[in-house]
Amino acid sequence: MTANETKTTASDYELAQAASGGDMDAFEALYVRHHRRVYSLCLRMVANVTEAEDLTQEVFVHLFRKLGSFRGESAFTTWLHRLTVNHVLMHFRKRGVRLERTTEEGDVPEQVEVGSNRPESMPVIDRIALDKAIGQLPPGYRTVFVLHDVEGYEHEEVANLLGCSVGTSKSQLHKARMRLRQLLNQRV
Amino acid sequence: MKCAIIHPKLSDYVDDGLPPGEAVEIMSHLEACSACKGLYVDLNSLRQAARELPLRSPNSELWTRIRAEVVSESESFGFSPAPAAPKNWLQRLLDKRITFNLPQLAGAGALAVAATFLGINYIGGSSIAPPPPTAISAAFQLEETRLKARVDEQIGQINMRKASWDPEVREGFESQIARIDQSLEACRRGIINNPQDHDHQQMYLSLYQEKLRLLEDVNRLKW
Amino acid sequence: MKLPLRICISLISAAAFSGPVTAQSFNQSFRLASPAAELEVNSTRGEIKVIAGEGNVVKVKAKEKDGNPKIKAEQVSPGRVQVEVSGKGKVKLEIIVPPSSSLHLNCYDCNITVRGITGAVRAVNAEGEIQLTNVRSPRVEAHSTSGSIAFHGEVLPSGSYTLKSFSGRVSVELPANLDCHLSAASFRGGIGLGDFDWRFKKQTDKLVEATIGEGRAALNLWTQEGTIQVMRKQ
Repeated sequence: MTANETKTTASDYELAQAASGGDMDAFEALYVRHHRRVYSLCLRMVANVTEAEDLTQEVFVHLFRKLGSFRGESAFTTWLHRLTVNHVLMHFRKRGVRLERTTEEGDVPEQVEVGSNRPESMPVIDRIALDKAIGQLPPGYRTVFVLHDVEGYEHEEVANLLGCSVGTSKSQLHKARMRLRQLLNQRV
Repeated sequence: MKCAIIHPKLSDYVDDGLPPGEAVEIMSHLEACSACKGLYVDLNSLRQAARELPLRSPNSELWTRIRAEVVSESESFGFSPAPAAPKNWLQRLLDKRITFNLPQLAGAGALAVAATFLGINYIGGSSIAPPPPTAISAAFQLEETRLKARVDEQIGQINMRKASWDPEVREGFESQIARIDQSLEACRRGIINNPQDHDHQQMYLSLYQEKLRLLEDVNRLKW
Repeated sequence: MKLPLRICISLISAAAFSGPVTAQSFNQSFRLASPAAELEVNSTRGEIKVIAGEGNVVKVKAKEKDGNPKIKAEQVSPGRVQVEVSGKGKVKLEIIVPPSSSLHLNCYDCNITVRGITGAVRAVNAEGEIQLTNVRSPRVEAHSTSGSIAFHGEVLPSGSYTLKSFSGRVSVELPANLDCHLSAASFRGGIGLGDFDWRFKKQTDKLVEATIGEGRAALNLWTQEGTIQVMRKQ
C-alpha cells in the first residue's frame, strides 16, 4: 500500500492493522486523520499548548504500541478518544492534579449572577472567548465540561472515567457552566 | 418553585436529564421568571457553542517527533519491523522527514556524555574489543540521562531532610537505595556486555523509574 | 437534614480540630458532600487499613503503636479528607470510607490493606505488604520497594492496573472472564501466568507481553528480584 493510497481509501481498521505490522505510512495516515481531534481534546483538558503537544505525542506513541490489540469491534475514533482521555487523566494523576477538589480552586459562589433580567445576555458566544474561558476553569470543572459538553460523553461515562459518581459529574458540570457564564459575561 | 431550587437543576434541564414532572415545573417557572429564563438561555447557548468548537492544530513538527520516537522505540524494544519499508537507523537518520528541535539537540549533547561514560566502563571491565557506541540505542541513552537528572534532584532534596528522620528508618532507606543501586549496576553491566540485549535495557529503565518513584514518594512524607 | 447524634458530635470535633495531636487513641468522622470521596493518607511507619463502609462518611481511627507520632486529619474540601502522620513512632490507621472513594495512600514502612473499594486506588510503600482485596476499581496503582503486592479483584474494561515491587512478590488473582493486555517483567524471579488462554506477543524468561479477550484493560506487573504470579479465581 503506498502512502497516498492509504491516505485516501483504507479504513481506520485497515490502517491500524498495517501500522501494527510496522507500516509507518499507514501510521502516518492515521495520524493525519485523527491528530487534530486528539490534540484539541488534550489542549482543552490541560489548557497548555506545550503540555498538549507532549501529551498528543505520548498518545500516538502509546497508540502505536497498542494498535495490535485493536480488533475493529468498536469505532477506531471511540477507541482512540478513550485512550486519549485515559492518558490525560493519568497525566493529571502523575502531576497530582485533584479533579474533584472544588473549594481551594474556588467554588462557584452561592449568589450566582442571575438577576440580570437579560434573557439575551449571551446571544452569540465567541468561540475563541469560550476556548479561552475553558482554559481558566479549575481542572476538575474543566475536565467534566470538556468530556460532557465538548466531546459529548454521557454523565455515566464521565463518572466511570473519573472514578466518581454520576451526581458528582452533574454537579461539576453545572458549576463549570456557571463559571464559564460568569467569565464570558465579564468579557462583555 | 423558588429560583434557588431551580438553579442547580437548570443544567440537567438543558440536557433533558430531569424526570418529566420536574421538567414541567421548571418550564412553567421559566415562563414567569425572566432572571431564571436568562440563565437558562445562557446555559443552553453554552452547551450549543461547546459542541461547535473548532478543532485545533498542533505544531506541524509534531509528527516528526512522534515518528522519530516510534521508529526508535521499534528498534530498541523489539516491536515488529516495518514490512513495507525496513530501514536501518542510518537510513532513518538520513530520511529528510527526521529533524531535531532544540531540546532534542540539547539531549543529544547529554547523550554524547552518557555514551562516553558507558564506553569507558566497557573498556575498563572487559578484555574483549568493545562494540561501537552506537549499538546502544539513542532512545535508551536519552531516557537514562533524563531519569538520572530527576533522581539526582530528588536525592538532593532528601539529603537536606534526612538528618531529622528516625535513625532506624534512615538506615533502612539507605540500605534499600544501596540494593537498588547494586541491581542497577548489574543491569548496566549486562547492557555494556551485550548492547543488543533489549530486555536488559528495558529492565534497567524500569528499575530506574521505580527508584525515582520511591524517592518522589518519600519526599512527599512529613517526617 | 437530620444527622445522627454520633455524627453530629464527630462533626463538631472535626470542626474544632485545628492541628496535629499525638495519636494515643484518635477517632474522627467526616461527613462528605457525596459518596465520591477522596482520601489521602501520608504516614511514615505503622499500618494503613482502608475498608469500604456505607453512606457519605469517612471514619478515621488511629492507634499509636510506639514512639510519639503526630496525627492530623482534616476535611480539606467537601469531598476530600487528608490524614497526615509525622514524627517518630508507629501509627495503626483504620479508615472506613464510602466504597466509591479514590485513595492515595503513601507510607514509608507500613502494611497497607484496601478492601472493597470501587474508586481509583494508589497505594505505595517502601517496606511492608500491600494487599488489595475485593477491589473493583478502574485504576489501581501499587508500588513497593521490598514488600509483596497482592491484588484480588476485578479487571474492568479499559481499566488500568499497575503493580510494581523491587524485591517483593507480585501476585494477582483474577476472574476467568479476563479481558486485558498484560505486560509482565521479572528480572530474577520468574513469571507464572496461570490458567488463562494468553495470546503472546512476546515471551522471554524475563518479559511477557500477552493479550486475552480484546485486550481492553491494561495489566502491568513488574518486579526486579521477586516473582510474578497470575492466578485464576476458582
